[in-house]
Amino acid sequence: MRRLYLEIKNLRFYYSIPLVVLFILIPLTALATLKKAGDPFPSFVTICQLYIPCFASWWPLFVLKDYLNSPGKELLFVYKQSQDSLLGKMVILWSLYVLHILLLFLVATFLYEFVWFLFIAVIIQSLFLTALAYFLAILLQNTFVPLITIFSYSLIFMLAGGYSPLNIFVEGLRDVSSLDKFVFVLVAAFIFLYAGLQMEKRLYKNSI
Amino acid sequence: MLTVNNLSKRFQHKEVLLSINLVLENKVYGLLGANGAGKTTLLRCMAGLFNPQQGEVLYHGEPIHTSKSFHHDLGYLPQSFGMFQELTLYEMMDYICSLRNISPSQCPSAIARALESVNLEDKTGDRVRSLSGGMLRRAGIAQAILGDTKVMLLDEPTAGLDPSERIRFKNTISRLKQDKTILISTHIVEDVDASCDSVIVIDKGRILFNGSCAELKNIALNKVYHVKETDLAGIAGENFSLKVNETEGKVYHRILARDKQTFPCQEPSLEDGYMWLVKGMA
Repeated sequence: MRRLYLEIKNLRFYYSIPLVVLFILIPLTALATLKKAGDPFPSFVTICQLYIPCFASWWPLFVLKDYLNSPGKELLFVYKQSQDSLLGKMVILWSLYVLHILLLFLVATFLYEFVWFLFIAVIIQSLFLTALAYFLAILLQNTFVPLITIFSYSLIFMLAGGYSPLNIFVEGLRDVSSLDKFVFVLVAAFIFLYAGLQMEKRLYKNSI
Repeated sequence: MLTVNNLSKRFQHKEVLLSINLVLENKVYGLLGANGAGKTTLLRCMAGLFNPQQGEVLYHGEPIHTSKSFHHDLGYLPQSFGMFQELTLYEMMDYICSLRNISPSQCPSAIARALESVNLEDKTGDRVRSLSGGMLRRAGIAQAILGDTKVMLLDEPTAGLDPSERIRFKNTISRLKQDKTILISTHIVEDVDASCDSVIVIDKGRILFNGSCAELKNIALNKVYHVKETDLAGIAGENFSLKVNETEGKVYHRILARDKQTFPCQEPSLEDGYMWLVKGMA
């Protein structure tokens, strides 16, 4: 945990970006929709899915940067061989992000119904995009391309909408049946994590 | 003791290391070779970063990948160094202490000692990104000597250091070398001469020589000549010009020649022995 604390400290300004999104941008946007006529919950669903899952990959990718892009990556990989894997860091950072999402949703329960279905959906989407970011980062030995990919994916599928087997986002989450799709999203997330771990163990060693 | 057994490494179709055999004891070894000779690949294999296609590296008789003590005992300095740019130098060293399983209670004193060795004790609060290239190199040396390091693999540690820092590095190595296996990869012959007990010469992935500095010098014994430029045509047999210098308006060549010459013989240096080997004159 000491290492993770220092890695997070190394992010400096970049650490605060997801916090600004979660605790300033989303509440302000949600409050703005409350004034509209009609049910504000669908707008909250869209806002949450648009902003929360994609920023789940922010901390993991910036932490991975030193392991993949810095001049000292060779040293880090020599010393970390008997230590924790990068996958472990991804899971811890996702968990930390989920704690922050939980805080947001605790407040949201005062304003909306059905909010816990949305919470489950959003944390699974966050895990999926974190896993995809980890997989792409290890595959490409780069953190910039995965970041752009994740944000482009979120924007395209959230804003264009419509049904696609590649789309992890859903419109209108109001009951348990809305969560059916997320079983597949969860399985896909685990596949990406597993594939990333295998590449981390085998491929990276010979690619410096 | 670090043992390299029949180690071969290939990238695509290019053979980079060919059946390397080494036994490294508690001494300072200089790994000498030209650019592209395979020095860095050998060091990376010895640090466990690369998996060789053939052979193995043993630490006290146990493969390094299964050895519990190897990664704790290893101090490694790669050619390029510098990460966690936004942390202070102290925090970066603390991170490496944690990676190397150095007890948290011992970290402050270990960091202080290591930074003092490289003359960076007054930079502990500076961010890594604010350090100059030379300071970063010294920080790299400091992290390699952190704690109770027993094996040090240093890849071109003096690259980018100014003359006074190079002397300081040599003194640091002399002070630390007790009960340690130190392998310094370099193409600077003077560094080997000044700091190493033994020298290993590598060329095109093969070990050409493994012995003491005196033995390497002796390879070129009675083969080094000081020849006036105007007399060059008089050299008999295969020869190679090592150095050209001017003395009292006359140009002299330091020549390595296979056959006995009539010109005055010179005392061989480590560089002469090294050149004799890599030029294939042995």
